[in-house]
Amino acid sequence: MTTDHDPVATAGLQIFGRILASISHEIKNVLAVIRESTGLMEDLLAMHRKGMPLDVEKLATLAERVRRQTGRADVIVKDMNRFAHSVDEPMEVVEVGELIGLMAALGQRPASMKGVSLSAEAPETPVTVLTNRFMLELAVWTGLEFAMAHAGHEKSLVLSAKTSGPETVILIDGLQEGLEPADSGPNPEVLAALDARLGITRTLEGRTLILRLKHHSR
Amino acid sequence: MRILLVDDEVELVSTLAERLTLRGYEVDWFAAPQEALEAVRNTPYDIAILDVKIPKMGGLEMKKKMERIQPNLRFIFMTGHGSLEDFEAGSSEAGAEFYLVKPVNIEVLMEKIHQATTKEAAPR
Repeated sequence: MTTDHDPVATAGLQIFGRILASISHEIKNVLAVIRESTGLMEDLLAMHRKGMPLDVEKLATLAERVRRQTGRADVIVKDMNRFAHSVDEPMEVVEVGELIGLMAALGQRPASMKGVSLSAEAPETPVTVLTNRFMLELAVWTGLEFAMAHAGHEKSLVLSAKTSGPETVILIDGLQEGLEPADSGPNPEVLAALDARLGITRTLEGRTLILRLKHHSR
Repeated sequence: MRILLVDDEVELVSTLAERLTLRGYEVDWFAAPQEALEAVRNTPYDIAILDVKIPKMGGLEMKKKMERIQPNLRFIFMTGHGSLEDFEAGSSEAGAEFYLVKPVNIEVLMEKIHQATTKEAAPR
């Protein structure tokens, strides 16, 4: 992907960077919990060597915490790896339920920073589309960033996907009332170019942002 | 010495509080900024150790609100990012020497607490 005179590619790299920065923050937090937990274990052992009774239950709790946090890190890194491989193929059959699940997972920290809960509902039947995976992720992410900035009073956003005739439909529900389509992003030209490249129609209906694309997108 | 410790990672902030307590400090910890602000309204603290990025209210905004309540409160910031942008924001508020990147070393943190609460070196 070259970024010269390609605003979509430039925006894509910027978003890629923002997501990776968010992931690195999550990993740092996990490392910090592990470091403090093992540090407390060392403190307890040092006290025991000086004659204090050893709190075995406390040690067990801390060991369990470290085990759980390594599991958390494993999930974060797996998601990061899936996201990193999004750019591998220029065109592929994308399982949209899986894609929105990944976007919801990657969006947890930025959503939390805005006090918003974010979840994804798996479609009842598989929803697939032939497209550029990374570009579709960008389209969903730009929608999510907009939705996080304009979440309704419940502060709860739900991502979902479905098939509707010849179209694949991705919905982000839980926005404020009364938003205008013109509000749909900080850089409308880039969004328009991205949507045009994917063949996406982006609309606001009530409190839902809807992305529609043909099953065989670009 | 009474310390206020704020970070949205509950298992981090509670464990760090416990380690500081073992070292003789009196520590109150909070994961929610509003609860921390309420504590500052009711309890005098010597120093507040704040995460830079906390949901709903960042550490820098929290510092401004706490200073209005307790003007003599000292601050240390912690961040998970360690980016130049974060460093500049945090260091300009707290002084570069009172800005730590997570995971923090407890001995370094204790040294920073000592420095920050030493009158001559205290940042404003």
